[in-house]
Amino acid sequence: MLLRATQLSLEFVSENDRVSILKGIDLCVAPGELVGLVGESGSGKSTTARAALGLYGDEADITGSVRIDDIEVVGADARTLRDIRANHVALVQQDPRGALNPVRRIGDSLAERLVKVHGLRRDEADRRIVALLTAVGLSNPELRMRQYPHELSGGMLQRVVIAAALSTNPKLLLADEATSALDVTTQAEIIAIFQREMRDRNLGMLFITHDLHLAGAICDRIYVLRRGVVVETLQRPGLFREARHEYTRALIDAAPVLRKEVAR
Amino acid sequence: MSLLEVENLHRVFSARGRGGAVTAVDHVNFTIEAGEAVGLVGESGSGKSTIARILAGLERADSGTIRLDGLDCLRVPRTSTNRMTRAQTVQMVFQDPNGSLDRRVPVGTMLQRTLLMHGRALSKVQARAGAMQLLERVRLTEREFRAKPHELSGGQRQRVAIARALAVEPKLVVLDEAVSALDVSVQAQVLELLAEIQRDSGVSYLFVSHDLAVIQELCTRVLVLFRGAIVEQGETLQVLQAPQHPYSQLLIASTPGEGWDPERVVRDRMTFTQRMTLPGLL
Amino acid sequence: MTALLTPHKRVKRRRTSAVGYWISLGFLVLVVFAAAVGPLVAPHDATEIDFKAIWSGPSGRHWFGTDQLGRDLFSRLVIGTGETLIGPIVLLALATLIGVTLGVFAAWCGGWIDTVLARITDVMFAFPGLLFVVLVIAVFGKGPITAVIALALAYAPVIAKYTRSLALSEIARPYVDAYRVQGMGGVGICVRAIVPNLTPALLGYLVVLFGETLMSLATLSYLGFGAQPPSSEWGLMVQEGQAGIIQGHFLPTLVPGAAIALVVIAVNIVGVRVADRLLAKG
Repeated sequence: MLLRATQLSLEFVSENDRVSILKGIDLCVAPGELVGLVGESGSGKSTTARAALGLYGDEADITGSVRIDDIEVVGADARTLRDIRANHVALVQQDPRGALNPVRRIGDSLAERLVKVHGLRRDEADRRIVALLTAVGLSNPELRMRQYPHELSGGMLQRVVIAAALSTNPKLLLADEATSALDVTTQAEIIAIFQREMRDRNLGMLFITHDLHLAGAICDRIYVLRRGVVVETLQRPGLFREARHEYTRALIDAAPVLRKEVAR
Repeated sequence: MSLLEVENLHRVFSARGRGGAVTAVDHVNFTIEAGEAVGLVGESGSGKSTIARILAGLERADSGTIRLDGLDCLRVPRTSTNRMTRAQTVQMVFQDPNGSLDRRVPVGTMLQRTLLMHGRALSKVQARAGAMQLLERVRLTEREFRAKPHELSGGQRQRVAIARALAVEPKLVVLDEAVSALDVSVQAQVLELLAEIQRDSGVSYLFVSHDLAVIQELCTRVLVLFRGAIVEQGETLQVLQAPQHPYSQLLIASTPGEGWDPERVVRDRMTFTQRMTLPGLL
Repeated sequence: MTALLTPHKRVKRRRTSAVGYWISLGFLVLVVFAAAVGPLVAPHDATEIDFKAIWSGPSGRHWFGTDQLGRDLFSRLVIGTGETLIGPIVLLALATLIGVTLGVFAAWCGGWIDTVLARITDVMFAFPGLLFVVLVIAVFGKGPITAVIALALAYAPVIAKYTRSLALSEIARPYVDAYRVQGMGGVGICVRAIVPNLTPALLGYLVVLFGETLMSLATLSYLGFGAQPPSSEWGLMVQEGQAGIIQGHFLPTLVPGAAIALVVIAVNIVGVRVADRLLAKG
């Protein structure tokens, strides 16, 4: 199992307040699975991803277990966390401009990690990056390597971020609203890239989104999150059609979908 | 005569250092009738926000004509009278519920000031009553009256923004991605509210969005915008059932739903891009 | 499944000490009290000369000792508080008035107006502040009022630049567009929305600037350009006490010097915390 969260709970602690964000979450992702985590704002979906990466420090009280590739994340020391993030899992977030250093060329940003953390030689790293930039559909990858982030559009930049995520050969991909800021046509292309790479590399992916119809179209399994609790788990092939929880049903009814018939 | 008549609207942004000017609005023609809800769909860079801002008087146009309720609305209003007249003809609801409200002012007070400024209320007492009425219309209460924007949820803030737009009783409300930042359930409520308001008051909407499904919920007609030009327009259901222009087809195919195939969209996109480089297709 | 030995990440709570804040606040209260009622509570007169007690050390009669004319240092300090503090306050008020007006005006108008104002402030920056002041004084004569006005002009560009950048980010927010669509004019928006909204950030900046202006004004008095004898403004006291250092009498210089330093430090400590609180709320 690539990702297994067991009774994951998280509270944000401040001087005079404790806020409970996650309340006993159980979820798992196996190799080759595209698992969706859907919910509205405040449901805790981003918090789950960040907790899985061990990104919370003193401000959060975490109980329960999160195992990535069978390595425990909760309470892990810095060295273990670095190893997990370097070799086992990669994250793609919503804003590509926030993920890349604006004053460094793209090639340098992407190669730095491979050279410093994975010990590749610079020319090996460059070769791998060029291959990945081509795989994510960027034209003229050698040019892209020399460009700065502000020279690329949002869609192109998100492809760069995906290439960076794949460059370390992770087994698990966390996508946190990775397509939410993109045009719908670009989103379709990015999803196609995700699906292809997952097939080729037998990756597992946790796809976090607020877009139910998107999740319903691509996911093998969907966890519906509401205020830190998984209220329902839906399996393909039924998915939303077989939703039983009233919250899930309410969400699906509320989400507009393209109707091509006059059915009312 | 239609409520809004837009003819040959054109706007070019001259670029400095980015290589070439950008035609944000390319000889656009459309109309909106009284009481009608028209959708304007396009992706980023299509020019939809520019059109919205030109109508609201925030952005200037290079050429063309805009007649709204008989009023010439092409230029950005400069004098106080022009500004007021424009404000009472067309209003706007913005995308960001948080940023579009003055964070220092309680929302009730903000509505009061609007009513007084436009002479819809002649005394503070009248203004307060008027503001409460507006809030009730968007299904908010006394508690929200006294609240500052950051004390409200996203959906509540957007309702306040709608109340503000309605305060001056405009003929046309331009909604620029007004529900895009809201949660799904809240979005549905706000759309329902907008439909109800239109039924009750007969106000017209220009609903700008990147989301065809949302547009379908509210709008009877849709305009498809690509690179500043309207490539297709018609009844919403008609356009969805039988899109004529390749871009409309691509847009519809890209929207996730049952039996969605992203790989096919990628292929469609490639064909589309190739065809778009051939002249005479737009 | 391991249930009991579940991994657990505990939180380390850090407590921020507010001792420094309260001490500084207490000190400032005392200082303000001295400024208000100094002349009434001081044990001696500021000009009370006593040739029998020149350069004397601390004693029951003279808590901090006396200066070269036998005048009680403690009394001079307390009586001079008002004059020392009022200068920077007036100076800041004047500089803020000019600077905020220029900064907001430049940010709102943009274009060539902004460029021209930017160049003017650049020129004023290039000129060392104190030198500029000395120039003004050379033309208009020395004295506390000239010093205050000259320094106000010297500090206005700095405030203008900071205000401009605050205003630019404020103007970029959608609520400003919303006000425009409501029919509000530029002046109205700037005065009633933009300035109030950038005030919290500006106040934090001004508090730190207060320390600087206090120092600048004291420096001018030290140089003989500001307060004139027989005033017991602290900068002037430092200058008058200088002669005693060679003879081993440090108090006449140390007492006013330390007072200046302590007030500046206290204002910074209190001011930064107050500014953070204001910023957090706004």
